[in-house]
Amino acid sequence: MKQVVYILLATGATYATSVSLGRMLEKGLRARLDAFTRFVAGSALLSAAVFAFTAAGLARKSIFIGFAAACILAGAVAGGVRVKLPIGKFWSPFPVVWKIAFWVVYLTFSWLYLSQAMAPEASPDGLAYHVGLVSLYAREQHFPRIETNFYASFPQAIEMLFLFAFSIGKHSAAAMVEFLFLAATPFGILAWARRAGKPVAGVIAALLFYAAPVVGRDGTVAYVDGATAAIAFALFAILERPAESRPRQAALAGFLAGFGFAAKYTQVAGILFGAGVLAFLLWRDRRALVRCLAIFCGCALLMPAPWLIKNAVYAGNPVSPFFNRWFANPYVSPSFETDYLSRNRNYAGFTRADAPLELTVRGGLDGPAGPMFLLAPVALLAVRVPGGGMALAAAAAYLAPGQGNMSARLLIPAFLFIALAMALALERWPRVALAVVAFHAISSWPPVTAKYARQYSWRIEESTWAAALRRTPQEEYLRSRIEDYDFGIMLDAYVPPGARVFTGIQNRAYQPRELVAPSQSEYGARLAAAIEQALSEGVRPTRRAGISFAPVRTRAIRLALEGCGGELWAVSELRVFLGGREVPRRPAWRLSAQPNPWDAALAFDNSPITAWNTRDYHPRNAFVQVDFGREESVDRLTADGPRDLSCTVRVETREGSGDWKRIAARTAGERAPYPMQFRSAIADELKASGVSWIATTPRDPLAADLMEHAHEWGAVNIAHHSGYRLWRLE
Amino acid sequence: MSRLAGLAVAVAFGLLAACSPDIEYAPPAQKAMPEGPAPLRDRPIVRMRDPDVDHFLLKDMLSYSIGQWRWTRQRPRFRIFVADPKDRQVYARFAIIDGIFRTTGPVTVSITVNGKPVASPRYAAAGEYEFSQPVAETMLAEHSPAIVGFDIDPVFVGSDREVLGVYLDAVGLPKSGSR
Repeated sequence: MKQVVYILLATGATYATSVSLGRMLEKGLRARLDAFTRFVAGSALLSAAVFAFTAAGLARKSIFIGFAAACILAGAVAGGVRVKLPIGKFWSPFPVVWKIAFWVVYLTFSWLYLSQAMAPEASPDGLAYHVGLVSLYAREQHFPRIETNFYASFPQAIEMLFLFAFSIGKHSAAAMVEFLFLAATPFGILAWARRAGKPVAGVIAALLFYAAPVVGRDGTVAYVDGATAAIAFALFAILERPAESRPRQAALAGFLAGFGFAAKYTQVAGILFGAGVLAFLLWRDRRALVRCLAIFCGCALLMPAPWLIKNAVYAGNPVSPFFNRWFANPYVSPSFETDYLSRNRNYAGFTRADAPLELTVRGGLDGPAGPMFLLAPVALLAVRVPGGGMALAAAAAYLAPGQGNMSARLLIPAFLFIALAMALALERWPRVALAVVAFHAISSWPPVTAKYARQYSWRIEESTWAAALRRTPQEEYLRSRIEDYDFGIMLDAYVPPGARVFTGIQNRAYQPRELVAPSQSEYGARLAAAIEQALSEGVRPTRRAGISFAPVRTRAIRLALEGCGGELWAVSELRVFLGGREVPRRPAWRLSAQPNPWDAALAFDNSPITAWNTRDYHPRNAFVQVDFGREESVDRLTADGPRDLSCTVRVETREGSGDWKRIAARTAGERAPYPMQFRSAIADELKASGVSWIATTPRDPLAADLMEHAHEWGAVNIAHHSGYRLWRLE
Repeated sequence: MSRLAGLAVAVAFGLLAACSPDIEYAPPAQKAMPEGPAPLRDRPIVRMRDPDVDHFLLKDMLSYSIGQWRWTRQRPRFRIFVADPKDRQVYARFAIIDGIFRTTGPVTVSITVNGKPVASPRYAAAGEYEFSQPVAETMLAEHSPAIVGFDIDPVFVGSDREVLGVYLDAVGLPKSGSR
């Protein structure tokens, strides 16, 4: 029970500190905010404060508790910490039947959701980064440079709130923070609806959103989509409200839109939506428009700026892991980005035509929103209802990220606005609306959802109070939910601190070792490419292009790419010859390449295991080049590359003027030698790159190769558990 | 607005930090690749795609391969290195190709370890097959490397008198239960 108390304390502290900071912001801006917006805006300030503490190396429980106490005290002085329950006058405009409907559905689902949020955190992305990274920051008390997990470059404004709560209540506290946002959002909707004179529509929208299975699933684990939906609605409510002062409205809206972007890149939709609404409202008054847009954009930069600067410093790209052609860097390449985006675009293998049914009923795209969302076209009827047009515009804006990733999780803010527009349309038929809400609530209850959704769709399956209250021991619960939980614990026991483990395992939240997964970093992908040579003959660099030409005297020579059919051009070794003898590599040589200049030396290290690679499927002006540092005579180049890769290249020499000139050459295919002891060479390369440990999963092809050729790898099987094996390279 | 200007400057610095300069390197230390085949203490499975596979083929194998598998002739023999003879099974993965089978009919593959018969499975259809059967420790204890052999009957004899047995992927003596 002690753990439960800490979880609740952490959640309470996050809420009270956020509300106190919101109150101070309200005073500073001389604006009146409702309780929901105050909480959301205050949580942005808390997030910024936690970022500052962490950047300063002060991410400690004592610092956070001290800060929380100071904020709550200051808020109390400012008259802030009044816990105002939504009862009494607040409810007077709501018809009795709708009040009852709201409380019955809200409390029933909250009971279910609370059991989930308080249970030990076991969500896939929570383990891999939302809490995985937070637990790392908590251990290190600062932001370490992380080159083995590109998720560390995503903005993490909500994870900063997780970190605050985690320092007190550990993993479940992070999920409870997400649940705080989810549980607060219906009241934000009601407050807006009450103000807009649409109380019934508010109840309908709140319940359509709150009970939706995917919303309940996502909002009760350590994900951030429930929080982004709350931020999006707070932004909407600020923009929709008649403004006493447009500049103040623009400032607050910009701040919230920026908070959304700092929570998740996809919430750039909020910035575009906010700017669009201001432009629509003020287009007749150009001066006011320019002023308000400038204020909006300036304030929208406040929250994301620390994250962009952190990325610029740590990852060489302020918007890492995207736009890597614009911000070339050694950590995430354009090809890695292309692969990542392509995986997202083809999410779960469904087409756009599948999306409506999968998003609402079948749940194949990360859980269903509920069959009632099939009535979404009804929302179009709201276009003439006050507030309806803006709700539809918001829905359209927040649906835009679906172009790149159709996951229902990413569309949760859009579901909120679709629910609102549907509610505004249905309000005119109260009985129909009540039936819709009732059907939605019943069809969203887990045993009912199980009857129509895909078996493995992402949804809540049952209440988990025994685990939430720790009557079921945490270890036992986690073991039943996380396939590699025990193996993760084993890593902690066998792998020394600071050592990196090459693995496909994702559990970073419950063990402290640094995991290197091929799909999560350029570094991991590079190691995986080396390992792949042991498993697939086609990728071994046994194809040699021998390029001969008339003897030429030059200071620099380059091999430039003409075409590679959309494949990644790779050069394992580039050698220069004269009269049949290799020109020895001298320290005065200067090696360079374009793109991916950071790996140029890998084409000159006498190792077939490593290679320079364009790391861009469609590079412009790709080459690998040697500056001899003096005039040198050459008549032949050889370039080794993967057996199954065929690219056309040309040779260029540098003229005295500095210009590059193509020279006539003929290319002959040859077979490049490949070491018989390639496994040993690959193992040496892994060790030289800082990886001496490999953890294989039961279905990993590398596991079979290590088993069969352990001696050649120089690998010792240190431990195994349920098909997982831990190897040390000697 | 001065605060905004300051912020804009900070962000501009961040963006500038992201611009990469021209990068050049001197040649790195030259890596020495291990020469020759891997030291043979333990190599329980030999795959035909392994670059050093020839080292393990004693006789009756076609010397070239089209893909990652290789054709045997009638009585191929393989050298298999096992460090520990306990709990071993003889293992083979091969295919009987449809076009060949139409000529030969059912094929019997008699498998021997160090000259002693282990099994003689008969294959009555074309297809891919995996064979494994435990081998007594005593059959391996005094022999390193162990010699695994196939005696294939009947075989296909082409118009060029080339003899083809089965199309082989892997053969070896892995630990029992590891396959």
